[in-house]
Amino acid sequence: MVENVKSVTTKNNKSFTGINFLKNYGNVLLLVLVAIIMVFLNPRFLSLRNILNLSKPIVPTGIVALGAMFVIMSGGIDLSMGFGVSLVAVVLGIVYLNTNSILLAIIVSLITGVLMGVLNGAIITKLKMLPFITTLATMSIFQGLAYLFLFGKMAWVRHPFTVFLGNGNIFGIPFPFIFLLIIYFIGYLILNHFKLGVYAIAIGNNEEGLIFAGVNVDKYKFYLYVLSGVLTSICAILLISRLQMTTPTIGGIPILLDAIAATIIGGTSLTGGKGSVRGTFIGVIVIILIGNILNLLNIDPNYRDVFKGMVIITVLFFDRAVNARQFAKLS
Amino acid sequence: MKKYSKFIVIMILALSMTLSFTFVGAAAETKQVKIGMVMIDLTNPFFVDMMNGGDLAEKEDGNLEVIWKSAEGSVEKEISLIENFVEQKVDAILIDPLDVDAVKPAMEKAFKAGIPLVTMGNFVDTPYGNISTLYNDRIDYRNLTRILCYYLDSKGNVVHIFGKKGNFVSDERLAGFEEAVKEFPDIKVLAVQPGEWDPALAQRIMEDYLTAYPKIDGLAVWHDGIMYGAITAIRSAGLMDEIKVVSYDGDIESSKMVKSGELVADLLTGAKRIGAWNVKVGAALARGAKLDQKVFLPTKFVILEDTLNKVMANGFKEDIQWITPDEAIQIAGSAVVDWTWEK
Repeated sequence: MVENVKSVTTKNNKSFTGINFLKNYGNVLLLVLVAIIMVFLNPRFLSLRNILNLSKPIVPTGIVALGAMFVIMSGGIDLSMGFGVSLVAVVLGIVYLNTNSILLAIIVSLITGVLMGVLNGAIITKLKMLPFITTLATMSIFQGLAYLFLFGKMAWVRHPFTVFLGNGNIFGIPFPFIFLLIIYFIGYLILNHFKLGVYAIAIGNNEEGLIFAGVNVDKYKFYLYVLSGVLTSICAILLISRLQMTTPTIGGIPILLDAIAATIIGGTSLTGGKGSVRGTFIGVIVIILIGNILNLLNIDPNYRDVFKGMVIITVLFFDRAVNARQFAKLS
Repeated sequence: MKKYSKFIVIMILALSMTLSFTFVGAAAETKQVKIGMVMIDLTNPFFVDMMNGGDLAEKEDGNLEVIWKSAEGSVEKEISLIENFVEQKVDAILIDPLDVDAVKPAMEKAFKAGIPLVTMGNFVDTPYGNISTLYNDRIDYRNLTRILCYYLDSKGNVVHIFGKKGNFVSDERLAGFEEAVKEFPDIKVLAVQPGEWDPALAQRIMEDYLTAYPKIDGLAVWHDGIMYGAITAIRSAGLMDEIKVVSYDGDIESSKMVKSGELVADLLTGAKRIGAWNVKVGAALARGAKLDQKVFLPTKFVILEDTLNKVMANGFKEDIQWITPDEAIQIAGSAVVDWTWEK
């Protein structure tokens, strides 16, 4: 059943045409273009030190983007991820301050992520509420709870384990980046070799068809939101490890928008049914590099948001144009 | 008996008058007042500490009620809160304006209702008799930057992370930074970026700076809350000994960093002190005090004596109020403010 579903979702991508090349590798071309601009602006861009430096901010956005990818490709959305990061960050700080146990703090943080996902998944699948509205509401809940729990204060989280988790190196490579690669590898396995991932695409492609085929679509949707919640909590743990402190202002809208932008640039379709781990990874790098370029040019951050929005719209337009052309060719 | 009874009546009258004046005087001395505080938000740690400091001042006063409200970053909500306080007929309203022009109509309503106004941390010039409680941000940040530049022997590359354009406090500190660096022809400003109030953003900005510029000698940050993010980036890159940092607001943690040498200097405003100070100013106005249009919070530089001696030997000649990190830690943890008004 899984193999049949996979073949349905991938059969149209096998033939090598210019359109297919752009469709499948357009984000790589965009990345190359951005990299060329970076080299032009900063000749030190390609030095090892700089690549290693740039690998750090990729990590939190990358993890949230992976969770966003799974949910979006199933035809859903999770707007609560940004403030979910804030809430988990606060929970971690509070548990650590009160118990001095980083292990307990991390476990409770992961459980918090699961619970956030359970809440979203349950409302969407059991109460049949729209994902957009549901996660908009839970976003507000998580934000409020984050501020309530820590009451606007800061909390220091300094433990050798988290210091290494956030800032350590293995053979000179930042450990958070290695961790990100591991997470993405697991994400790749889930997407391509486990029912959850394959059904995520299938639900986005043809949910009704799957229901008629006897698949428990609600169950897999529920698990996708739980997965999103877990990845949100992992992001928060890594962010806190990097900063060695927590405040309710961590996370929020910026990381959510960057993550969604990254998945879209990476080729994930907002209407569902399409996406890839490789594409999302590339999308994250593109988003971080765009932010980096704009920093180097000392551009007002408000223009940054305008520019990012324009990049997203351009990518969406391009994606739609290529899909329309391909559809016309096939018919 | 008759002549004594007259004497007794006179004595009783005299005593009554004395007692009545005493009670009236006492009532004027400790008149119960209610003041309304309109804050930009009550989520940022700085503003939360302000509220805590204000609450301590309220308790110390004993005849004061302070109502704290958050505009949650919305100008419309801020205006609405001011109008609500006017309706409630509070004895004074203190505002931290998100937009100094947008709140003026609401301030006019308060003025017409006879309610004294305070604009906190912002100089707002209106015909409504408002007092502006201010910090010497521009002058203090200018001196803080001078300390950094003299510490670097008046040469080198510096970067700056400010708050947000349009925020009065951030604009003043940025202006102070720009004015100071102009005095040092061998100090080059490589980049200036807004970190707002987000330590994670400040960390990313600092990482970008470290990527873009091979040599950075100094960093000036506008606010302690985000300085920690920038310092983490420097620490991760192993450059704590190469990059000298100054920051502002005098948090307890930043004073510890001055003591350990991770920071060259800081400037104690102290969120709790600011909260307590504003509440005291509001209470004084509510009780009829006549204050200057601008009221300044006493601020102090947090710096090690050796560091101060070094920068003075290098040419720093400003007459500043300074304290040691240990003293700053004590003050920052309290709501002690050396400010009173003449009754």
